[in-house]
Amino acid sequence: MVIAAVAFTGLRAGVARADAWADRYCKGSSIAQTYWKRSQATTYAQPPIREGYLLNGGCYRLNDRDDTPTFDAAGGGEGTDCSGFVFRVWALRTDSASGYRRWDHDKYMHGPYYSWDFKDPLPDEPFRNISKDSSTTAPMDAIAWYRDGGDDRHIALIWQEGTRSDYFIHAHNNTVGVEISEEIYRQQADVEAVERKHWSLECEPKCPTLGTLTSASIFPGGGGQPR
Amino acid sequence: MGSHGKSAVRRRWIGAGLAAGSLLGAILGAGLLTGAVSDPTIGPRPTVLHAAPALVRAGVPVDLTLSSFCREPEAPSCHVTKAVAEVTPAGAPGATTIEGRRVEGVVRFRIPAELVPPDGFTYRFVVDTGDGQGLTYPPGATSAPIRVLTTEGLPGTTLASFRWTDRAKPVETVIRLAMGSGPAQVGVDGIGDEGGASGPSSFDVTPGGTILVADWVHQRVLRFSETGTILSSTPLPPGGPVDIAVNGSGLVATTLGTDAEAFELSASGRVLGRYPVGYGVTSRIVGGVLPRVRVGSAQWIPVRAAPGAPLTAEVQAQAQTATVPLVDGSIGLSDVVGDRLAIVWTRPDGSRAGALLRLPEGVQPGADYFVRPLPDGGALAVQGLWDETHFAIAAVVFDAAGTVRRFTLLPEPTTRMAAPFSTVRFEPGGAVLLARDAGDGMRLDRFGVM
Repeated sequence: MVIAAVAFTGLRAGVARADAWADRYCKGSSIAQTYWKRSQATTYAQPPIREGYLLNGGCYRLNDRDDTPTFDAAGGGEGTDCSGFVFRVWALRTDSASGYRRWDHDKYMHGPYYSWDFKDPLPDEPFRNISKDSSTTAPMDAIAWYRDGGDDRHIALIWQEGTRSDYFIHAHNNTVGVEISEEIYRQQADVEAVERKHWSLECEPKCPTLGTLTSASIFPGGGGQPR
Repeated sequence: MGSHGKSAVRRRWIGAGLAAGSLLGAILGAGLLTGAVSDPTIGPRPTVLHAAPALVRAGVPVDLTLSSFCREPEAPSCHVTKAVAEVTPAGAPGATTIEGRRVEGVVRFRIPAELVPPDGFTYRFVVDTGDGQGLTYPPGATSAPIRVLTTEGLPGTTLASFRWTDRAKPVETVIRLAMGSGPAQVGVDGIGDEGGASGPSSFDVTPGGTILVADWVHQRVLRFSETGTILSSTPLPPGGPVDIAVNGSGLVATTLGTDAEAFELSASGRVLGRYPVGYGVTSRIVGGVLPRVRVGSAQWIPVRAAPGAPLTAEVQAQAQTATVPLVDGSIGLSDVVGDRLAIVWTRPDGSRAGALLRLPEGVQPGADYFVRPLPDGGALAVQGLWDETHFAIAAVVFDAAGTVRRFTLLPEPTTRMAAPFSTVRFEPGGAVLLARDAGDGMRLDRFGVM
């Protein structure tokens, strides 16, 4: 009984400490965007590298380190988890509608989607499954899985594609936080490739009008096309 | 002094502290070597990522890709304004500059066919940044260019069709590793990806058959006999998941990803040295006279000159190689070339052997686990295979002429090991050990493949 009471007190103290961190640093907001390109997502994804990790969290204080490295994954503090990171990088909205919303890195937000949602999207959700083949995927698409009743689940964003492995950017876990790592996720048997619907064209905001449309003017360099 | 020079000075300071065994130096080193510290007068610098080809087809254009990341991607010092590849065909008097084009956040280069002669080519990247500082890859003004060989002269051969269900049964399960902190347990549930399990991050086998398992969660290395009896437990320094490799009577280990740090441990677990990895994305380590880490596809760099004496990033880049020789000097490597899997190795007499392997329809080449030259002049190639819904490992034995002598399809390795390229290991007796998921833990299965 005494041990349980001490443990409970300790747990409460930990939560209080974690909340204090978020209360102090998660002051950001969000703003609607008229477009969100893969290149914008790439730029947005970089500052959180080396920051912390928090299950169902949270927010980042961009100081190039994990502010709360000793906190449990679910114990508050800095960071988001893998699905929260994808939600932010894809500039998704909380109401499942299409469109774009930029979340400040220091805005406390996870979003309504978890790795199992991303792995098996519903038709009206703003992302969908695509083939895992590298001829189909592009940087800022994702690989997601949910195995063993949820003991093993994750979603990671493709950073740079390779022939036999890829570089991924992801909120990896509570030990390393957000990082870029070389992984063979794509070739694993029970994973799904996922892409955000409605990526904006890379020519935004200066895309040609309908009267002057050419493939080259919309997809400079062959990239950026919606899939 | 450019940013590289200042960075080098900083690293030398850190290296000196670590080599002296100073606790203060170690603490400072651990912090500074994360790459977290930038010179405020220069600003944050981009980290360049590149997956190099090891083998290409002569006379066919080669596509290269480069990307970068930076703490403040919109700062001028981070902004990549231009990137070129300086390509030197074998035998050519000078380099040809190929300008990259930005596509979906990466920079792509196409090396034209006329720059890909049968003897291959070398290349390096020169990147301009918005602050005028620029950088090169591999890093440093004197870095060795990346060398690419061709498949010229390799015989073609075919891997017979198979069913994904035709997976070999293990000869035996050598070790079962339940999750926990007990003497022969590893890892823990609840701290991994979104709360998932975190098992061992790597394992390796000594020439004598002893099996080493990196139980990073409990900061220890477990040693098992070749029959799976627990022998000992030695300390592993605190930190994240590591890849490990046998190194004499001790071992070498490295953290993974960017800003990695390799370290060297005695048989008793004493830290003999810590070595910052100067660039790239670290994914594996091998022991030897000069322990090397893999910082990208076909890019291996040494991390120290002698125990306790780290190398600067510039020196690491000068010594970069596409593969790592075995103790006897033999080498083996593989790459995807067109729709074939190219495998090259050296025979005992030093001559080159290899094969261009056509895979069955719809089967894609996956991870390169290893290519092991054999005493008879052939080789054992252990390579991943996959399609949209399957993943398995091919263990292919070639004869000295490059003909497939035996093919064994092994089951999917564990997906929970943080060092994904170390889930299969060659055993001295000619078998392979494969780490697999097993209910609430992991197991190491032995397969006969020869």
